[in-house]
Amino acid sequence: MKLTRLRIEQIRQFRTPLEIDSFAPGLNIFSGPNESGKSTIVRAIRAAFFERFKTQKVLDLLPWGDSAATPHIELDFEIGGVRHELNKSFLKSARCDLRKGAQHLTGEEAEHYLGQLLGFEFAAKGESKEQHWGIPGLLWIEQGSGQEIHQAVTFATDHLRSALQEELGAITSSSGDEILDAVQRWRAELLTATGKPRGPLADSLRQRDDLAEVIRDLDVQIATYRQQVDQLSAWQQEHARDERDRPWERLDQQRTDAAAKRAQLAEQERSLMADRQRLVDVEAQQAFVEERLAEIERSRQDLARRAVAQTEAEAVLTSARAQAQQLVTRQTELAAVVHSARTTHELARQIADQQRLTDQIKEVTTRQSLLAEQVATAERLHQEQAQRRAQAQALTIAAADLDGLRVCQQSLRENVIRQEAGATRLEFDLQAGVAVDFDGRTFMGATPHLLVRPAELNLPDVGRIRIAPGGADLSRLTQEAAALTEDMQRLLHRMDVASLEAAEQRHLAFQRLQQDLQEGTHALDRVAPKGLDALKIAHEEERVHLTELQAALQRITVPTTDGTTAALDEAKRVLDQALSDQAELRDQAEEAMRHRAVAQARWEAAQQECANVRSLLDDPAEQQRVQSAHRRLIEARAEVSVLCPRILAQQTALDEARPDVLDQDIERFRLSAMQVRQQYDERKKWIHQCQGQLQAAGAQGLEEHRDTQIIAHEAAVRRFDELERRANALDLLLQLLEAKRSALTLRLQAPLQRHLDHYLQLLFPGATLVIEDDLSPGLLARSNGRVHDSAPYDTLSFGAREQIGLISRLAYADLLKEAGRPTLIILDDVLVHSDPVRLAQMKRVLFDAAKRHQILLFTCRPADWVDMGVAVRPLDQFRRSV
Amino acid sequence: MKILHTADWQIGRQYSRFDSEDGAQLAAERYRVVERIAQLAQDRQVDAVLVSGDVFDSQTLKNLSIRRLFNSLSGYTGPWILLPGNHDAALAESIWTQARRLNAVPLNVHLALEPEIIPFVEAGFVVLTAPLTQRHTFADLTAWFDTAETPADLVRIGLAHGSVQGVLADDVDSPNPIAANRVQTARLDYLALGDWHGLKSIDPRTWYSGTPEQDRFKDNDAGHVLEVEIAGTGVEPIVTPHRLGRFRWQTRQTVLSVASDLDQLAQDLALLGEDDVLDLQVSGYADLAGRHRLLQLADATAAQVRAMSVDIASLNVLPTDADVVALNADGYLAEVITDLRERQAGGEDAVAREALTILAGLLMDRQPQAPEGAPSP
Repeated sequence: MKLTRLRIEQIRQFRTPLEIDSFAPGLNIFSGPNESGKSTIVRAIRAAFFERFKTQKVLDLLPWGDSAATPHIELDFEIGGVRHELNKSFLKSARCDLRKGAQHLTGEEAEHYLGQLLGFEFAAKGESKEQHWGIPGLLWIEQGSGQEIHQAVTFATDHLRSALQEELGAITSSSGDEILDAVQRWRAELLTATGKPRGPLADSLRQRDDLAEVIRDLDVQIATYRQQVDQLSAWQQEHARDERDRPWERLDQQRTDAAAKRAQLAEQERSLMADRQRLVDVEAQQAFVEERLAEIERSRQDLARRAVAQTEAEAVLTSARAQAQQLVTRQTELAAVVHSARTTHELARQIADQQRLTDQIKEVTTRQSLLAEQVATAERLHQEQAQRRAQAQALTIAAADLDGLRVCQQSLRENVIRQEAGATRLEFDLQAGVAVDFDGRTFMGATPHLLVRPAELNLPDVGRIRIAPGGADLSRLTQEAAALTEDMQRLLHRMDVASLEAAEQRHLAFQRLQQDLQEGTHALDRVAPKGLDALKIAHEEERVHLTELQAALQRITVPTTDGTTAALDEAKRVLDQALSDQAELRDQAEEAMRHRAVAQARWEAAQQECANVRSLLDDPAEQQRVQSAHRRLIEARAEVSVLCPRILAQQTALDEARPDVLDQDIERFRLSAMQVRQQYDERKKWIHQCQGQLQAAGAQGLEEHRDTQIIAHEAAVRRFDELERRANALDLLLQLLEAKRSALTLRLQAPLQRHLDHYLQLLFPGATLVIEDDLSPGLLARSNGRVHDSAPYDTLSFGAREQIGLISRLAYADLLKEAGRPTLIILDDVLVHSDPVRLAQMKRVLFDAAKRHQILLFTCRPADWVDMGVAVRPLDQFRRSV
Repeated sequence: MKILHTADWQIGRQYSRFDSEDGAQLAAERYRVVERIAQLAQDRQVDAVLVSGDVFDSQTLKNLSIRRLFNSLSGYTGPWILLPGNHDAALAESIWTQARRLNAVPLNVHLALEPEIIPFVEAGFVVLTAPLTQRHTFADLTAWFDTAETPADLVRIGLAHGSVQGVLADDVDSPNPIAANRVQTARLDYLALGDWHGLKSIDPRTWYSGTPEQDRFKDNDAGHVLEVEIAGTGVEPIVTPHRLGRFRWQTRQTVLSVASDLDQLAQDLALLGEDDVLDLQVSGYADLAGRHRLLQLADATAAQVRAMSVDIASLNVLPTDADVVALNADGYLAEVITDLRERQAGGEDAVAREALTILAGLLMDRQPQAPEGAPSP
């Protein structure tokens, strides 16, 4: 399709017509700033094709503020060498004319023709919408929508598919997808996604297996039943045999026979037992007699031994007696020595006591006289101290009173001085004999007087002169003096002295007395440190002690001696030695006595025993018993020699008869009989039980039941097999359908892929772009050196989506062109988001596409497009004045 | 003297290969045929009815089944002699002891649980019995007949269950052997045998009556009882088969190769009726239309006969090119059909066959002009 001329009039800003009649067959670039009418031109072309001429929904075409206008579009184009002229007016004088070669179509007919020709539809009502635009919707890119491709592709898919099919000549299936859906659905009823049975298939499988299990179970029961029947049969046969044979009776007979034989043997055994007993008795008797004879022999030997012992004991006794006698003599001698030593020692002791007492009395007497002196001194000193204390008591003055008196005296003196200083001085110089009474005094001669208080001078006959001292505080001083005087008097009185001087003297005397007292006390302490009483007690004690000592001395009466008295210590040593020797000798003597007693006892015992044995042996009765014993021994020996061979013979006979084995036989036959009987009884019981069980089992109709279950099982098997076959078939069918469909899709998309790859290599060398089922671009895989990156179309950047969108559209255009469809590409301000590198590559793409398609490119950036090999034409130049 | 000889009633047998309702009908018919035997015995005024074993199909049946059987005998009041066979051997505990315990056995019914001589002096014969007392024996239980002494003027009739040695095919029911010349060695006038389900005469005096009601797809003339009349000792018996069986068990094995084969089959099946039990096995090749027709035919026949089992699993479905066109299978669906056809042709691929059938069904459902009642998948 080639656009050759465009004229628009009374549309938006083109009140005056705009006409372009120089479209190139390939790329056409029109430029203009914003709002210069680029989009209006695109809108006009769309309106010319898409909008029904009769519609009222195209008011946006009207020039602003001119509702009476008639938007008018003229388009001349060529398709397949046939010239078409389209004239379309809207609103006021709406009409549509299409000249196609010599043909003239008008109105809806013309519009329909155009729709079929270009591959779009009309809105049933009102404004044309995106979903109606079909192929032009895909190839005519509106400003700012270059990246939105899915929707546009969806609305054009059918057209693209038919183009693909026409090219290929291949036939897709008209109802294939529906069939595929049905197969998928049916398969899903029987199998899970992973091919496991589900739904009815799983149910029938379970039923089949459950029934098989039931049958197995029944088979086991039937087998058990049959086995029991066989067992019962065996038991019944055995039972019948026992009933007939009665085996326990035979065993009982055997037992009775064995018992009789055993009784005979028992008799023999008893005889043997008696002989054995006799042998034991005789042998015991023989042993007894032998023992008795041996005993007598032992007694004889004993007697000889005892005679020797008696002689020995006698010798021992004699020796012991001699030794004892010797020791007694020695004891008597030693007693005399002890007595002498004891007397000597006593005398020495008394002399020593007497000497010691005499010495003590001397010492105590000295000490007592010293103490008597001390007591006398102390008593004197004590007397003196008492006197001094009495004196001191009389002289005592309170120290505070004395100080107070001193202060009063001093203050009074000062007061007088100050009174004199302030007093009025009167100098009386009276004639002799004249006396004047003044101020309480009688003055005569020349006498000064200090007046300290107002006073009146009586001048007889003259009157009175009143004189008042001028000093202000004189009266106060006078008062103070009076008070002080009073205080002083009080203190003197209390101390019982006349004056201060007297008091001072008394105080001095007191202090001296105190010193004397102190010295007296020191002296007393020296004489009697613990006090006078203690001293007196000590003195008394010494006196008593002395008295006692003297009494003790009186009591000692020393006998007269030969004058050679040994020292006390030597006497003591001699006495101790004598006593010690005496004690040692006593021990020896006692030991010798004991020794003699023992020897005596032994000798007596030996003598007695010897006598006893001898008398026993010499007894005539005993002689007789010995002879009798010898006789009995001979008899016993004879009997034993008879018994022994007889016992041996009997034992041998019994051993050969084996009574123990006979006993075992009896027990064996008894147990066997019992066993057989028990078995018989038990079997009877078992038979009864088994019959009961079998009756119960038989009544259940096991085999009939199993047959029923087998039928059900076979039905279940058939159903499962059918369903499984169906499931497998559906599975196979689904695989085949999907495989074929997918192969077909690939085959169908191959030409489109080829066109797409052609452009893609210009933009992203080495990249691949997957085409989705609906023919829109899908996964983009790029390889940048070693890094492989693949991303779905929707996740690409805005710029990349616009670029991929554009090359996809160009590929669709190529596809359509090859299918003989008209293609016109309109790009309104595209690729504005591309960086310079990508833009340069896209320019190569566009240049290449323009070799096959007419492209109208509108831009507001003419400078960007100067390298496209065609002129960038400003829109202004196409405006026409009316 | 005159007796009825029958055997192998197999009471309690069940039929697994049919629809359970049909199977129940077949099982119930076994009681009815016994009723018909009783009726025949009554009508023919026979002296006794001898049953040569396998009265019951198994040892443990429901009490109800046991009672029903003995009730079915009530039409004939003369003596019945029931012999235990291998299915109902007289074991220590058996269906017979159970029947006795139930008090279900009428007085005129004799259970021959032990080898014995049963005299019918008035009628002029004795019956020598050889019951099975074990499930299987390898000894000939009829051997004792040889030495059994009976009054010389009485007809000797043997009653046994087993396979006559060297005569029958291998597929006999049990190994219980019977000497082929037993009639001669035991001086029998007639040997009434059971175990072989078809009607068979070993020699003029030795007969298998077969089962009175057929129970398997084997065309061996089953469904009869024998009326045996013997004028006197040494006289050859007159044996008259009476057909009492109701159901005819039929097998149809057809290989389809050309379209007319199906016509042939249709004609054949049209002849069958409600007393027929059918085993239909179809193999070979059919196109979609042929297969469809076959299925319709099978459906129609199933309604027509008593019971039917169908096996068309080995029938290959080969849609013709015309079929494919008619199915309007274009694009990749056509490729799938081609693929499935190739797989099917390549071998016995049941899955591919089923898949093709499903696909064809789906496509047919989508055809407005598809024939009514198209097979649903």
